Formats: sequence, structure tokens, C-alpha cells
Amino acid sequence: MSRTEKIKKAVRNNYKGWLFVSPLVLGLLIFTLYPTVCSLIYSLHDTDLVHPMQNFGFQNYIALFDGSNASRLFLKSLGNTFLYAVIYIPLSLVLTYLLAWLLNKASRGTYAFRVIYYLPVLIPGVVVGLLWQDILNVQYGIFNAFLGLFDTSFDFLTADHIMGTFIAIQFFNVGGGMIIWIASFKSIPQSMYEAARLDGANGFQCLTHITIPMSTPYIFYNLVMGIIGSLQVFANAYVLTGGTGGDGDALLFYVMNIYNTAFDELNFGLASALSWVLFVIIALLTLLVFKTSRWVYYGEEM
Amino acid sequence: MSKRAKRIVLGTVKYFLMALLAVILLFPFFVMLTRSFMTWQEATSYPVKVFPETWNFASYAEAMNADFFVYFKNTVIVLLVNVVGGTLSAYLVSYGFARIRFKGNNILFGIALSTMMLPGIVSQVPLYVAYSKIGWLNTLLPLTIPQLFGGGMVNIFLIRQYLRSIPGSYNEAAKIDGASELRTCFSVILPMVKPVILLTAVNIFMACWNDFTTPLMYIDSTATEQFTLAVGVYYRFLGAVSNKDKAPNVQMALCVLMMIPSVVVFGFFQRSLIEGVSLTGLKG
Repeated sequence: MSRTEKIKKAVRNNYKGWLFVSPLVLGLLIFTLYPTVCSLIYSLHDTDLVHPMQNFGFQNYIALFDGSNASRLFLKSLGNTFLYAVIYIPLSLVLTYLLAWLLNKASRGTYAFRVIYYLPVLIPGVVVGLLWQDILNVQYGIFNAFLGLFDTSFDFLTADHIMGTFIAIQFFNVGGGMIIWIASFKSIPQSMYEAARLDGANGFQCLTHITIPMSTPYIFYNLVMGIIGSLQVFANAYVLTGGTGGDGDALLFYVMNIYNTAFDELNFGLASALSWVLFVIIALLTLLVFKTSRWVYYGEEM
Repeated sequence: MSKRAKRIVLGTVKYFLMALLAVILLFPFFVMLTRSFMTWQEATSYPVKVFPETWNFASYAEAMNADFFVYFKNTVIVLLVNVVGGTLSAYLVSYGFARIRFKGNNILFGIALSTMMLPGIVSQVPLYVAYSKIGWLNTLLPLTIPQLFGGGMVNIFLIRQYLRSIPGSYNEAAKIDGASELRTCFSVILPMVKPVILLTAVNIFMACWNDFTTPLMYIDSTATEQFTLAVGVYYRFLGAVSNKDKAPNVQMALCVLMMIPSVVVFGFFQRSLIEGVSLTGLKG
């Protein structure tokens, strides 16, 4: 067979599949690859929207550690983001898992509880911000009205309290995680539980010896997604603080800092460098989770 | 304590805790609703009022000013394009991955999946520059066009898992009957995966209705004509604009209004959302 014939045959055998996935391929090239390459180039130059790129070098990366205001904001936002992730990811994984486990059994009212727990997930980010600003308002908020009964008041949004407040607000989303677990429990064969019951296992033993091991692929998935998501918190915190990052930058998250650097200060070079640092952090953490994923049970057939 | 008594006590404690959590999680809705029916005086009075004296709709009328309808129209346009176009695109791409053998299938899917690790902000900043060059800033194009290219990896992943569970013999039979690939895709396979397509559409609807970040980035605070509801509400009450509207009752009325579409859609599709379309084959 000649070369051209070979190529023709390869095209004939493969073109349909590529045609179907072509929207994604184009999308990846235009809306992911192209801007990612641009971002890398920007990060190595001084650039904004008006002036062309100049001064090739690592100055934007060096600026993150040189004690300037930019480096202060970088370290502050990185610290805030890690603090949030370290508290929120494990707590939410455990809490949502527990909820799903409680609501998995088809007992009375279970379905109604699931619906109620899921409802706050439907609240749009901008509404979350508006609503909690109102609830937590020192003058007319309902929380301080209650505290007023005891002749006291509490400002939930000061530098010392705002992170705790924000994490508490984020916990209103437990329903979202819960339903993923419930779906995962469905894929566990009922026969396993029946066998365990026959051997005299109690509910707790069933949880630790069947439910948890069998749902490790989902635990793994939720952990990876939790890391990726938590390090990119933006909308809710942005709305709650009106874009400022709050009193003393206590709620300045990493992506908020990038956003402000790019769109308020128009420093696209520095913003791109910050983005790449975030990408490297996420990639390293994800890799770490993958490397230590021996505890994930993929079933006998794998 | 007997085993039976123990079980009853445990059950009661469990129900009590679950009910308590339900009350906590419903609390924001309670605040939203009651305060939206107050007058400005009631909403800002001290001591704080929990219920309005008379339930009046004045704040809703105030919330739905002329701007509101402009934002609403923009949001509907964005929603329509994203839900219809995004879902269709996600289905076609998933079909290609799950039902057609071709060279590079697995590698391409792996690459596409790994882009989920890439933080959105990495591409958002250069896209801003690109959009400004081609005149897309302050239009609805950045909110709609990108979604047409695959409709998001999460959705592709979900549909693909579903499509893979259908035996390959359906495709072979359709091929023998002389159906084209596109015909097989829409007339044979699509009816079998309706639930997951519907779920995808609902997911895209929710994500799009809630999306605040994208319009915030690509629509200036001065381009009010192009605001979607999310940014419109933000700039009206929270953004760094001097003449911010500080009326809490109107804010809460808008909160309620913004909840209505989500709750209605949720009401229709609650079974599939709550029961969760089980991600069979997450293992694979």
C-alpha cells in the first residue's frame, strides 16, 4: 500500500469520530491552549492593555517575594486560601458524607430532608452575598437583634471573624456534596450488606467495612475536586466583601487578588504570573493526591 | 437499657438533629421572604422586626424597575444559547468519545480531562485581552460562544459515562440498517439517554443563572445595557458605585426574584437532581 493510500485509509477510518469531537478540540485550542500560552508569555513581561509587552524576564515572579505590596497581597491571599482549604475540605467531606449516610436509608421523611438540605445550593452567589450582609448587619441584622436581647452585639465581618463567618456560610452548601455521596452509595451491591448482616455485622461495621471502602473512588474524586475548587474560591467572597477582600484583607482569596491585579490595576503581567503559580500549586497537590491514592479501591475487575 | 429502647432513643436524637439542621438551612429563605415584604422603615428599624406588620409587595415593584427587565432579557438570551447550544454540543462530543472508535480517542479525552486542573483565571486574563481586540468586551458573546465548544468537561464526562453503558450492538444494528452516524446519534441513542441529557441541561441552566464571575470580568461596570441579572444586582447594591441602593427590603425582594427560576427548575427535576444520576463507571 502506498503512503497516500495509507493516509486516505486512516482518514476514512477516523474522520467521523474527530468530526464529532471537533467542537471540543476547537474549544480547547481557542479558549484554553491559546490563552494559556499567552498567559505564560504575559507572565514574563511587563504588560497592560494599552502598552505592548516589554522587558522580558522573571520580574513578575520575583515581585511575589520581594517585600513589595504585591508580594504582601500574594502571601496574604495565599495564606487565606490555604487556611480556608485546610478547614473546609476535610470538614465538608466528613459532614456531607455523614449526612448522606444518614439519609441513604429509605426511612420516613428522608426524601423531604434531602430536598431541604439541597435548597441552599440553589442560592446564586450574588444572592448569598446580599443575604448574609443583611443577616449579619450590625445595626438591623437579625443575628444582632437576637444578641441585642442579651445586651451584646457581634460584628461578624471584622478581620478576626470574617473567615470563620465565611466558612460557616459556605457550609450551607452541604447538600451539593451530599447528593454525590448518595449517588455513590447506589452503586454498592445490596448483597454485600445482606452477607454482612448474616455474619452479624452491625450498622457501624457495615459503614466502615463496606460503605466507606466501596465509595473510595468517589472520596478520591470529591477530594480532588474539593482541592481544585477550594483554591479557586471567588464569587461568594467577592460579593460578600464588595470586591475588597474585607477588613484587613482577611477574606482576600487568591483568585480575588489575581482579579484585582488584572482588572483594577491592569497589571496583566503580574496577574498572569500569579495565575501560573496557582496552576503549579494545584497541579502539585493533585499529583500528590494521585501518588498517594493506594487507598482507593477500584473493585475486583480492575 | 434494652436494645429496643436504645434504638428508639437513638432514632429520636437522629431525627432531632436532622430537623435542627433543616431549620438552620431554611433560615436564609425565611429571612429573605419576611424582609422582602417589609417597608423600608420596617426593614431598617430598631429593635429589629422579624415579621412585617402588613405583607406588602411595594419592594417587589421597586425591585422590578426598567433596568431589571433589561438585565432579565440579557440573562434569558445567555441562558437560551447556553442551555440549548451547550447541551447539544456536550452530547455530540460525548457521543464521539463513547460511541465511535477513532485514533487518539483516549489520549484526547485524557488531555481534555486534565485541563480541568487548569485554573479558570489562567485563561480568563488573556481572553480579556483577546476579547478587547475583537470587540467582544461589553457584549454577551463571551458569555455564550465559548459554551458552544463542548459545553464543559464535567458535562461531557457525565454523558460519556452514560453512553458507554449502552451495548455497542445498537450502533452496529443501525449501521446495518443503513443509518448514518448522525441519524444513529439522534434517533437511536439519544432517546435512551434522555435523563442524563435533561440533567445536563438543568446543570447548565443553574450554572449559567448563577454565573457571576464571567459577566463581572467581561462586562464593564458602565455597560449597564449588557448586564445580566447577577452583575446587575451586584452593581446596584454592592459594587463600588457611589449611588448604591441601600434598601434592605428591595435587596431581599430581588433575592427572592432571583431564586424563583432556580426553585421552579429544581421543582420540576428534583428527582433526578436529588436521587442523583449515579455516576456509574466513575471507576473506568
